[in-house]
Amino acid sequence: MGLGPGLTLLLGPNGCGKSTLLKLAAGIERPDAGRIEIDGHDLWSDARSEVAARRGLAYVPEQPDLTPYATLREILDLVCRLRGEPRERGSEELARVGLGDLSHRSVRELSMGQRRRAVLAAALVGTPSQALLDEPLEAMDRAAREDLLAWTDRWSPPAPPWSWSPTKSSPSSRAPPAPSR
Amino acid sequence: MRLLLPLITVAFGAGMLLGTDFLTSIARVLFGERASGGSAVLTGALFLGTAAEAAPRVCRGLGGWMRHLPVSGLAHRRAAGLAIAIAQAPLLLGFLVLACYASPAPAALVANALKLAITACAAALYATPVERRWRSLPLALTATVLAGAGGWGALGAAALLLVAADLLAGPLVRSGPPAVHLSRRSRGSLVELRIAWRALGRGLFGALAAGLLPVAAAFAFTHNNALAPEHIRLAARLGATLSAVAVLAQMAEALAVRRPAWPWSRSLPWSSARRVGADALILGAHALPLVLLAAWIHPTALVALAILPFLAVRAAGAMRRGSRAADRRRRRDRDGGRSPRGPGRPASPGPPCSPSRRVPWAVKAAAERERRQKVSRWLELHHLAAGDPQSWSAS
Repeated sequence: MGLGPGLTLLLGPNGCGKSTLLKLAAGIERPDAGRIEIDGHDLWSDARSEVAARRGLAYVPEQPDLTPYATLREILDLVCRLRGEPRERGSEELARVGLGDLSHRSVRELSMGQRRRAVLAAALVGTPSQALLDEPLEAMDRAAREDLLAWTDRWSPPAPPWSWSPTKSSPSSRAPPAPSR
Repeated sequence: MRLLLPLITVAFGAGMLLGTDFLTSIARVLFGERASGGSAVLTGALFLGTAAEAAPRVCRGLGGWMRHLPVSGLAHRRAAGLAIAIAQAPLLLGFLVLACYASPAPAALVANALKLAITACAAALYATPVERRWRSLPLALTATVLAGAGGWGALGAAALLLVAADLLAGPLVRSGPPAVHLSRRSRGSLVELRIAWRALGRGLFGALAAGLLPVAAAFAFTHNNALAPEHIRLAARLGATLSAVAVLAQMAEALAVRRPAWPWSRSLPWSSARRVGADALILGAHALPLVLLAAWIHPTALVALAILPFLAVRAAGAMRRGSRAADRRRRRDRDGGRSPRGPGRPASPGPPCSPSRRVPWAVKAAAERERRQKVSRWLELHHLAAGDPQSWSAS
């Protein structure tokens, strides 16, 4: 299976493996068989290739499992350090998703929507070539949804491919039409 | 059962080694005709300890979804209390066996069983987090001790106190999410270390104290005995090595429970070896002062520094736990056997003998464990039950 440039939507009923596929693609879980390559780099072969593959990756999970033992600012600083970006980028992205005033908080002190925004801010740091969004509109308020949709609208070929797994659609989620099967 | 395991093991071992005389003696002390108030205090303390350990595990999450079910707050709290009392069943049964040893007469057995049941219920009520704790707590505590302290009169008084405590206790206390105590001004430097420290919390002092014991024992051994120089050197080396192992094991276990694999972070541009290396550095840095302390006994203890990196990496690898089935399959593959999924791979070489070559081998092995870890799988680690105030899964 290969994902080309542009926006790719994963659609399917509950439990069919959309999130699992994204976890595999994001390098969260290692496949029992086969291999996964991001921009030509194997996700699991050796340390150098691992880092190279993940450098171009941004992942927004369905469950924003950020550590509760660090503040948002510290998490974004870690992301900036690993992606080779200045620390200020982290603050900028937090402010961009509306969490600038909450950067000193632990994820435990945030609502689910705010947690998802925090992970989205982390995804915005750097210049990822691949972004994997698992149920990106879930738990977001209307304004945040509009911002996110406007942001993703800007990505069109030959810009980076975006994988997206919305399980259900709602009047406020105006996802692009499903690809033909 | 996990809490009671050491107690049951000691009792069983003592019974096996010392014979039935030992059991009879203990039984008479606790339940004989001349049993004093001290026996009741000991029995009550054991029940209170068990209940206090069981209560957080039983009551975790009872204020959430379950609370919306059509049950009154009082019934809800009583059910929780009953569950805590049932958690003491192994201890209760053990005491009943001892009571049989003390007096097989039916009347005495009934009296002892009633005493134990009331003690267990009072201890459970004492440990249950109720709303009006300061009203019910003294009554429940008195009932716990009074139930086993005397005859039928004391038993009746304990039962009355228990009923009064139950009526005064009210529903379960409402608990919000655990408090978060993070430095508001900290920047992103040493984030991995900060996360580890915060996850360990006070457990870090426990780990260091465990590591201090071998050094203290080595110091006491060498200080209070006239030993040959080679024995002093041996004691210092042994103390340093055991100390490092104790700290590494304690910290690795606590970190594996309280700071499990962070799935999302695996999508960031760092390698498995880097994550393992960071953990090994954190673990090793905490064992280092104890090895240096052992060098104060004799400088030869510094020999332990040669093996410390290897031990730290192995501990970091041990934190990456796979499923038992996966571990078994990997062992079979490693040993050249046939796995159920296909032909086995050739046997991989074990650790090299040279200390300098062991560390890269250990890093490679630990990184492989890190890669193979199924991070999305639910692990039976019970972070909150283990005392983690900021369990990742808690809302």
